[in-house]
Amino acid sequence: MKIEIKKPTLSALQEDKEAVIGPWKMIWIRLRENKMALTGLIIMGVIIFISVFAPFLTPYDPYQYDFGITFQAPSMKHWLGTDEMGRDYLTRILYGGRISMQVGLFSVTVAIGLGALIGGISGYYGGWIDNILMRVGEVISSLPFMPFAITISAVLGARVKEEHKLYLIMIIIGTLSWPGLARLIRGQILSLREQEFMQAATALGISDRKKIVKHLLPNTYGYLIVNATLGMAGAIMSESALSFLGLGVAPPVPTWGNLILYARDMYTLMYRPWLWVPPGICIFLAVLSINLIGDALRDAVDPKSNR
Amino acid sequence: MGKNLIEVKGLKTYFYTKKGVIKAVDGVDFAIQSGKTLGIVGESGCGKSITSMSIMGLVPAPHGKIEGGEIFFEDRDLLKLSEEEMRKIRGNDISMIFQEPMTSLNPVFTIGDQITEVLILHQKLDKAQATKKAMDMLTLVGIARAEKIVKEYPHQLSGGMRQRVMIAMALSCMPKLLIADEPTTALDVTIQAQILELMNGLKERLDTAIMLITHDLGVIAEMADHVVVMYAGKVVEDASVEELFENPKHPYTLGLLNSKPNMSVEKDRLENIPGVVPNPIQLPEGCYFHPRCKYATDKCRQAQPELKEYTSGHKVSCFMVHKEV
Repeated sequence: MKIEIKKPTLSALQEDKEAVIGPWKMIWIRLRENKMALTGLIIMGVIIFISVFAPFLTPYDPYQYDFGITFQAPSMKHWLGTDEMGRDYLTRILYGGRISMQVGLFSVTVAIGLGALIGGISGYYGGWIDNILMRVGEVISSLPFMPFAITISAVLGARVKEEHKLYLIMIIIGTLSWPGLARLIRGQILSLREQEFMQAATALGISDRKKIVKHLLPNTYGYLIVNATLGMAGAIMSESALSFLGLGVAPPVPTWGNLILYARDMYTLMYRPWLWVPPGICIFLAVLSINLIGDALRDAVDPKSNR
Repeated sequence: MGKNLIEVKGLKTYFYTKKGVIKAVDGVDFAIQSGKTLGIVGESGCGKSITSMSIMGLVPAPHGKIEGGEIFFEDRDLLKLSEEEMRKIRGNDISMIFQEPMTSLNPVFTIGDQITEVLILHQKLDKAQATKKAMDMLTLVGIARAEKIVKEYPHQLSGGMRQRVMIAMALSCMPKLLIADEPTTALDVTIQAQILELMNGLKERLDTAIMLITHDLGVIAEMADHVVVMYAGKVVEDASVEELFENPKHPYTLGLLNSKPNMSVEKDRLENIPGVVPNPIQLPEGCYFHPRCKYATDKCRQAQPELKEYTSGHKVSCFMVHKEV
């Protein structure tokens, strides 16, 4: 009898390749199965799309005023009407989305960066470094967020140019929201650094910095991603709240938060709903979709969840 | 006699705990030449692993501390090197295979990433070269389908495969000294044999010195050129492998050899060494082994024997042996 030895064909190899499911792919597969997450992803996708392509979606300039057409109700020409300076309101909302999303993304990046770094260093080195960093974190997290953010914004805001206030807000939100994450990451690193593969990494001559950034933190990516998504929702809300109080991003730069400012005016609140309902809905949809994605990600990242 | 690649002299590694000082390694001497295998044998907790950790500079701070001694590697004292210099040696000149293949690989990276990282770090290869080298190494340790394995994650491999990956990783920079800390304990017997054969083959090809830590005398007989027997942080016997198996002198070595099953002699029960390794905080007076030794005399209870030459190349630390001479 002749035994045939099969040579691996290309298609067989490609099939084989599919057997290797990396962690990212696994998360994606689990996420895809979750209907709520898909809804969230679609809403988020639309919001990101209109934010990025705002200049191509509207013929108007968000800063172009025209006092001949102030406070017009929604019409075919101005779908969401105009504001007190005769600016097209839909355009303002589209551009506002840009700013709000930017604030969300940037402040989350600051928070995640700080949180991961401080948590990583704290957990890896332990001892007095850990003590100092964690105590600083506790001080920050013991301050009530809103009043403190308002105070900083009010104090520093006076010294910052109006157009730079945007960045001030991003940094304030970012630097106030890292302690929770840092604590979480520290806990993870504490248990991870005792694992044998870390000893193996040391035995291979890998430096501390590389060990923290390349070996330990990737093991906490799950937490980081979930935190980033949920944190972004929080950041958008915080920005809206600060802007609504007039302490955030200052007009004429539009954000969803400072557009709602119109609701402070009794007359507008009662008779011109097109000025405050749409930005409210936008904030609601953005936060909702991010939360849906975040929750689903938490399940997808958790290896113990059966969903 | 060739030149020694590594020479450990009077190494003392202590651990400071609330209950007292643990002398995990207490004055250990040995040397290894290039292309030779030194076996270190002893029961659990007698300081074998801490000895290897001390060489690698991995003694867990702040409790553990190297209190004395010298470790000469190519005429440089490793204990006097800075952390930076030590890092260049680790993984490059000296590398280590760990006991637990199941947990010694980082779960979130592919096998390829983990091997190439070392190559890029120490050999300054670029990504493509490193990947090619990684595949070569995997093939060398007997892994078929290396091009596929490099893309897999540790959890997708079996224990034997992971241990091979660990060996491939340890050998990828052609180290001069390979420390293998019970490399086969976690594996089943057939894989054990393969791994040992592999290590022997590599030793001949690359002229690597191996420091093999094990409690399996069978492995020692097969692999080692020279054997050091440790007990409670001290070397009790030091001999070539033939000498040790033919002419064991220390009662502890005798006990170890007797507790192995023997096919030619019919016995109902295996012999064992009575008692356990003493608590390292309250070591007995005199010879550490005397409470478990059937030949113990009053002298053994009072004074500690020194490690002295019995015949050329065979050192023993026991009063009984040296009285004979």
